[in-house]
Amino acid sequence: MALDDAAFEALCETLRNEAVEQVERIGTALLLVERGAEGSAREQLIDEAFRQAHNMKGAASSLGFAHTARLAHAIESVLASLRAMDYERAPEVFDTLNAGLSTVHHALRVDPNPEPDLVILEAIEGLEAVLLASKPSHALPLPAPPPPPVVRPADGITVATRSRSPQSILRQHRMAAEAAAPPPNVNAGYAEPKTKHSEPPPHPHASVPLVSSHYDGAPIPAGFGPPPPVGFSSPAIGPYGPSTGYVARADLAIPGGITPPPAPVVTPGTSSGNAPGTSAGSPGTSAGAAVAAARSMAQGSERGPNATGQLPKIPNAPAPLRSSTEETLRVSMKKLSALMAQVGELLAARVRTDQRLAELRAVLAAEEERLKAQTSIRAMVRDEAPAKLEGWSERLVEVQNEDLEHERLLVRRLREIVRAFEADALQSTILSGQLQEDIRRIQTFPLASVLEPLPRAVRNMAREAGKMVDLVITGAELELDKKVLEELRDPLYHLLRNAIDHGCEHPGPRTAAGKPSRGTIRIRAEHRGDVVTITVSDDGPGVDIAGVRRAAIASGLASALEAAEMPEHRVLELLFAPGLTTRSEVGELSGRGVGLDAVRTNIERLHGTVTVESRQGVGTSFVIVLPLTIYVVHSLLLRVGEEQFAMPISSIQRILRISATDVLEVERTHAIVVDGRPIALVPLATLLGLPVELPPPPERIPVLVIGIGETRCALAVREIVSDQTVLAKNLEPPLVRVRNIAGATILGDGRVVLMLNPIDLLRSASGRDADRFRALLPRVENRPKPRLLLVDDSFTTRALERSVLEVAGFDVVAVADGNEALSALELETFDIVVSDVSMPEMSGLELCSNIRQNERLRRLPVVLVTSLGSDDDRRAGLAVGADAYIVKSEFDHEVFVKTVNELVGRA
Amino acid sequence: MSAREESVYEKLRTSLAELEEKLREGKTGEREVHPRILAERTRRIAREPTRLDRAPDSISCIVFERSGRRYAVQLESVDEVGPMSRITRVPGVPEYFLGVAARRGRIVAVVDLPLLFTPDARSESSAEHLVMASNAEVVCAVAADALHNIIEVNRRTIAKAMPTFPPLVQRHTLGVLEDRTVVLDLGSLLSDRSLRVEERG
Repeated sequence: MALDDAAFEALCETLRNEAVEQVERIGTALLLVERGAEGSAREQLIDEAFRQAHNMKGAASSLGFAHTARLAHAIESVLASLRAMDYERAPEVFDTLNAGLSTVHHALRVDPNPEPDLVILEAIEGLEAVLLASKPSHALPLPAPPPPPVVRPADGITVATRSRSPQSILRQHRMAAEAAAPPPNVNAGYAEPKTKHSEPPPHPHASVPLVSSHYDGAPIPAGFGPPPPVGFSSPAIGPYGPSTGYVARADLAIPGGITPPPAPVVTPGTSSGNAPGTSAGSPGTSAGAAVAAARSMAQGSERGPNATGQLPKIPNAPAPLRSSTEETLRVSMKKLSALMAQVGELLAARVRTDQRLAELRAVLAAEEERLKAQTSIRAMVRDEAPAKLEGWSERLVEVQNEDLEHERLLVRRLREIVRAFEADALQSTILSGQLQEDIRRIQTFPLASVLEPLPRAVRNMAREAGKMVDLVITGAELELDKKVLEELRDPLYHLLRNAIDHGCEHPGPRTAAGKPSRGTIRIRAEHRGDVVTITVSDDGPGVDIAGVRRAAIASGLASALEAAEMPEHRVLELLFAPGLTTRSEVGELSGRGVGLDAVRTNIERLHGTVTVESRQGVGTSFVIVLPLTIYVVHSLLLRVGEEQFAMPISSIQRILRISATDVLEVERTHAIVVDGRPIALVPLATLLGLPVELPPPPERIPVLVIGIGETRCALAVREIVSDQTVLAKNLEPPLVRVRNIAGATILGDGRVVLMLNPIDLLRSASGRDADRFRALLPRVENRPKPRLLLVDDSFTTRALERSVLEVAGFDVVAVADGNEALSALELETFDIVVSDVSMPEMSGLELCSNIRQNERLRRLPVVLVTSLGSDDDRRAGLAVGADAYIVKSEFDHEVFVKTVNELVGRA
Repeated sequence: MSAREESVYEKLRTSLAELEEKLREGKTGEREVHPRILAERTRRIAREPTRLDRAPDSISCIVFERSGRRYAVQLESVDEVGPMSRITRVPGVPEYFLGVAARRGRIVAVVDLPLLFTPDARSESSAEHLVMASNAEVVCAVAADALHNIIEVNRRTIAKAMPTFPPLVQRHTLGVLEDRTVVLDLGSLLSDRSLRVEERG
């Protein structure tokens, strides 16, 4: 029966996933070996790597993944020779092994297509070369593994994989894995050619048959080794098994494969051999292998020694690396996501319950009020009713008493209902919360699943770059949503590559700077409240701030002036700007920002943030902050104008209420003092481009302080509505990324509320956008300010004039001489120039004359302010076309401001 | 057993016997007509269903109106048509995005076609319907004041888009009908890269 395509595909997928895990494990083991693990630890690691490679080969063969099987086989062979490897050759061997491991991914993609593939062949040849070099006296090519698309059922008939039933293939797959399980023995198989049938094993445990296993009572050869020469009484595993096997199967060798060996490969250091077909496998080999075998046995394997050559039973081969006895169940992410979506709906229903409860409370309050009124009316009627209405009054009191009693009953009943409702609501909150948390946990995996491959990646990247780098990971046990983990993989790789390229110096410069020659990159994951922070830091030279400024100018991200004036934290922000470092001319700096734009985009899709901190000579840290789940975000609902927005609470540092007197004006912007430090104050509405509408003066203005690291900002809002746990959703394309908006959520009443992006807001609130924040309070005029270029070589004069002009409502850009002024005029537009006359390089007169000769600028008003107060000087000034000439000795603020105002038409 | 009881049982037995006979006859009768009925049924099923005349190159379109302009979009590009839901304005996006609305748990952008095609167009009324469309890349809603009929349009009878049309309309318009209805290729329109909002922070 042909195997159903879907079932086959599913098996292939399982195999691929498993193989990727196996590659990671081998990589990790190799890394530790390479780092200098010694003695038994080294043995164990090599065993582990070997076991994984062997299992991979087995599984690949069983599904017809020929390329993967051959590659795994080659890796396995090199691993087998690793024990006795000459230490001096180690780096080369590890490189080749790592290259081979990387190629497995490629092979997994190519398979099960049988076409020869050059990349894979090259990798195999590389591995072969290593093996040959390690055994000069036995320079033999790798024997070909048995052809993978073929399986051997118990009766010895060869059948094509795809024609088997799903059951049989599953069984075969499992058998293969089981049979491949005893690694030290297999190892021994590699280490020792079996040449004599009768020689006893050197170690009692070594008599364990290498590969035989039972499945459902049917003896099968385990592993993918050649068929045993005689029945299955002593099947040997591995291509280094009896040569007869290869001869028999040679015709089935994979096209383009490695030729079968004329003789088994002998590992150096082995002295005695065992016969193929004897107590199977007989790993009477190097002491290491024997010890390994013994250890394997001691670890509770059920495979008992079987010196008689009978088939041993391996009922439950232990799964490699997974010691946990906890039962697991594979559930598709789709099903879980659907479940999570339902929980989301449950959460929304719960929010609606809260609304009903609020309504009920309102009814109760109204009834209570009414009861109070009734009581007082009743007292009035009873006490003050005129005597002449005596009969009526009694009747009235009676009726009112009845009413009152009715009201009391109603209120009591309502109170009971509200109380019960509150208890129910609380219960449902707890239950839905637990349910949500449980489902969230199902979908979470340790961060280790993403971090595991990184040490190997770092090692390879560092070697490529000729650097020595250690990776230290803490917090790998922290669990995160699977989707978050998947999305995190690429950003982490980017950050690591950046750290190696730019955050770690070569050993020479490091030593010169008094640092250890090996650089250290740290990945630290921490859980803080409902967020997780992942910090990737290096101990390198720190970000070259001047270089980034240059790169920003070169990439057109900032004008020369802007770049020069930009504070350091904003320069660092530029690293995330797209296209900053794609230009090669920025030299050493290039690459610092490569992918950082993508990193930020990925992280923001997860409703997270990424920021950078850097200290010269000490290092650079990238801090990723992610919500624990991508679904639920604890947020503050804000009113801005008529709209509501949600701000993630994790980004809010403070909530304040300020009055107009708390507002300071600092450097063209408004600020408030928080913790003794001024923080820019901006109406959130301005940042969002909405009309500013703050509470009328006597009322205090609600302000949120948001910030990341040193960058902080106070956002004035109209009202803080409530805090809510909301389900975060992304906007759908065509709204791919909207500035300041991270996503949206649907409230209990069906309204869509946009979620704010705190990083964007911080970015919008700083630097060149400062002018827009003038519209802070209703009292501040919202008209664009005239831009004034102030030119003076004296710092003090500049500061003085600047403050005067800023108070007068000008947007002032100050430069130190005529040349700078001309550059600024070229790049930006100004409404007026105020210049000193005596300046180095280019005087104010020359500047003015230049301006008058420039077609674009010739109408620009120029005011000369100077200490040269003679009539000749004045005449010279007016002769070059100055509109006004003000002498410093006569300097009068009012006259000065009036003159300037008149010239820009603001008189 | 009394005489009365006996007579009741007798009646019951008679009834049952009659019923049995009827059933048997019915069954036999059915067998007799079986081939005929089957043949008739087969013919009926096999017959080409009577359908409206539809030229091979005709398309079904839904016609709607927005700000006094009539648009027709291919039915196959429309996911669903529903009443307008509450729209939340999105700051910082072009005006032709009226905002976002929740649709089956997703947050979709709502587009005003007249505003998209001619930026100075002003809508006097608030839309009452949403025409939802999606493809592999985007999911979007189009605002409509009124929904009209579904029409069959022969591609050959559609007049080409006039060269005076704005470029975006030209790119995604199949043509114009006699009553000035603009026939749009909604799928391709929504996928137009120029419509994307992909701002860097």
